[in-house]
Amino acid sequence: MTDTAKGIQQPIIELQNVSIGYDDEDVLSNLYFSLLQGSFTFVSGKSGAGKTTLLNMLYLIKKPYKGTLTVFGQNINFSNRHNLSLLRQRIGVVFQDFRLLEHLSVYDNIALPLRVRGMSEKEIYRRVVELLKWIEMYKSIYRPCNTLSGGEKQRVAIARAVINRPDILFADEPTGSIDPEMADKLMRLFVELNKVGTTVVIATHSTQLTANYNYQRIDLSNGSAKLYPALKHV
Amino acid sequence: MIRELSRKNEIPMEDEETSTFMYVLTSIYMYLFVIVLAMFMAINSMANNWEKDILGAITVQITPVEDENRHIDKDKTQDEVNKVLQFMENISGVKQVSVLDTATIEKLMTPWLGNKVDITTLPIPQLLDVQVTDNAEINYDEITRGLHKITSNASIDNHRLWLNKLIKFANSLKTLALSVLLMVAIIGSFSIYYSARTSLGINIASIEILHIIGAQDEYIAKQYAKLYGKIGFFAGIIGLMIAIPCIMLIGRYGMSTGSGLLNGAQLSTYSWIILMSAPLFSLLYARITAYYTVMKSLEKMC
Repeated sequence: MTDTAKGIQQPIIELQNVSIGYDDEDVLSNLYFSLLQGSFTFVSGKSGAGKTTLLNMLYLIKKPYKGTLTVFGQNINFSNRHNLSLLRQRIGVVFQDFRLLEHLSVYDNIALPLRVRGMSEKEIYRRVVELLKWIEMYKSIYRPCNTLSGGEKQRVAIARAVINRPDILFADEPTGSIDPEMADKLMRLFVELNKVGTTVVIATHSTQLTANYNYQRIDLSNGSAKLYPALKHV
Repeated sequence: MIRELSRKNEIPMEDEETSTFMYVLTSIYMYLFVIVLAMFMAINSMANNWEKDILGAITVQITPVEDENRHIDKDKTQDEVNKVLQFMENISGVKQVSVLDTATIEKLMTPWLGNKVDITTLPIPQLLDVQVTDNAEINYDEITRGLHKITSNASIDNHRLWLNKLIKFANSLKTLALSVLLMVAIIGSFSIYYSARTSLGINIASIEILHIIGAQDEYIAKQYAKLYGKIGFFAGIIGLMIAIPCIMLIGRYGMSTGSGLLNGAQLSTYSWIILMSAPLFSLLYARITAYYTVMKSLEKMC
């Protein structure tokens, strides 16, 4: 019987004395925290506090220059490019600016993570169509992404992030550029994904958002991070 | 399957002007490559022909014997020809000896004397065409000494002296052609290298997205290899299509000179097959170069 099965949650991400920055200048230093499997976490802080930098490191695009970062039990400092790619295949990312491949269709954008994993086109088609129906965009299946509205782009970006059923989902300011109603709908989607076991990490500068949802929060300020657990009995 | 083949590249490389430029550049390279390759094979075939046809033969000439009135003594001349014929036939390595008949000599002399002259009245030497077996080791000095014992009117022409110089010249042309081929290949790979690197720079945002999604370097490199392979293949066909008429034209000019030496400069079926497979070679070469360029560049870039 595994630890998880016994009810003991495993840390999916662990930082020990981690520092990260650009051109020898620390953005965040001496970070110590761990995120458990199946947890829901907000990363909060003002603009420029280092939320995107932290997320870049957590979704393995940037390595820490100091300390130990462990993701899925693997020390990232000693992972080669091949292993990093395999780890990234278990991660989904929703960017603030969506970062879709604009010249491709909705279908091809959502299919990307599956193609990267070498899945058969038949299976890809089945999964993409299923997801497109769920996000109510089946009619736009072959539309190029550069013809979509902001809201549609966001739905496609989310679909791309969750199509391969990732173990962790990162979202960078997902509600930053949408109306409150859409933001609420989106948050409910993240909560649903978390309920089925996906670890969710959302970076936001919105204090209202973190106040509305009772989840643990990593607050970034003055180059350091502080973990606030979720309030009990709310 | 059809969807997969017709699907757009995830990295928008084909929409760039770079790929149009690469089509034009590769077509020119492939045109040069095919022309020089054809030249190389034609020179090679010509030199081999010289070796086989000309070095495999010896010509013995016997000047006519004259009587005291300076008239040709046909009987004595024929007697000497017979003796020389017998001597040559007994040499090891000689396959066949034949005396050139008057009609053949007349044909050979026509360019110089015209066709209205009766050559039987002229003191034209009798010619013996001696065919030598392949790889026979003929001692020309010994033959010369043997001939002189029979008659002082006989002399030998083994073609080797003047032909060696021509073969050397042909070999230097072959080396030159090879170096041009090598240079075209090197410049071709350089242009693929720089074009692929430029494209990687332009598409860095798309590449970063692919990396975040979990794409391995091989996945991205294969997309570039596919595109450059396609450019290599189609540009190869264009280059070949332009080169073929040029090769045929040059061949026709060569033939029209009527020079026996150039007759051997022909492309065999095998040579044509090699030339026709140039687009496939171009496809493979471009694919491999692009693949390794992207693999190495990505390691350094991200």
